[in-house]
Amino acid sequence: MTDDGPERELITAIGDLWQARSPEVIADLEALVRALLEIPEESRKTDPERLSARRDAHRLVGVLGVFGQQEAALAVSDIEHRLASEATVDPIMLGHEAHRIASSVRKAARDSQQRR
Amino acid sequence: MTASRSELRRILVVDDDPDVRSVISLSLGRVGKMEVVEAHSGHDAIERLRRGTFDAIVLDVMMPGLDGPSTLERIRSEFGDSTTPVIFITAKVQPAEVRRLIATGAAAVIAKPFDPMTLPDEVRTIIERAA
Repeated sequence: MTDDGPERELITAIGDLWQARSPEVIADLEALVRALLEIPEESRKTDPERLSARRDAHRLVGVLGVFGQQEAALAVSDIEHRLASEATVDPIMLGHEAHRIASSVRKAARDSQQRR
Repeated sequence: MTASRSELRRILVVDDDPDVRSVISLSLGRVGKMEVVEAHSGHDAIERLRRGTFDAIVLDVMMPGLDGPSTLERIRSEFGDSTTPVIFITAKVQPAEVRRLIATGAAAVIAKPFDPMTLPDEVRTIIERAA
């Protein structure tokens, strides 16, 4: 028989933490949508609005990842990468993408709460 | 000396994000049975190091103010400590970035997102390799 007690305890603890923190993470995703929409259409990589959105995206990649929201983490990571590497970005398209991610995380959090 | 796997390890976890810190602490504490001390910034980490010693430091790369590499530089110069393994944790794991981080004197680089189930084993292996 394997001693999976600590592992099960960890899954429960991370699940509890996700339940407590998911509203704020979703609010941060919605803030990212607003930050993306504030980027001027003809922005440069070093524009403050773009750098700020990039920082917000980077933080969210880490948070979503540790809570097991891998798909959302990858999608936000893609936004971060585009803000960092592409000469021009479409703020409206990125904002829509972030909004889609926020909706998907909101649904995942709701489903996970119902399962508990 | 090779450390015993059952030896209680004391780990300093440095990350500006409270959620990431919490999950690392839960992982190392509950599964790895390690003693974890958290620091919310590079400066906070320096303060914690003035008050105690650690078997390893898990250090976020991108932090406001003193970032991971600058914190490592301060640790090495201020404490003259070149033996405590420092493990960078970062979402940027392109080979060139990993080489750059290892060149700063880190013992290893762990990618975010990490697996909280296997993180304690990874940390323990890095500590043992550095001993």
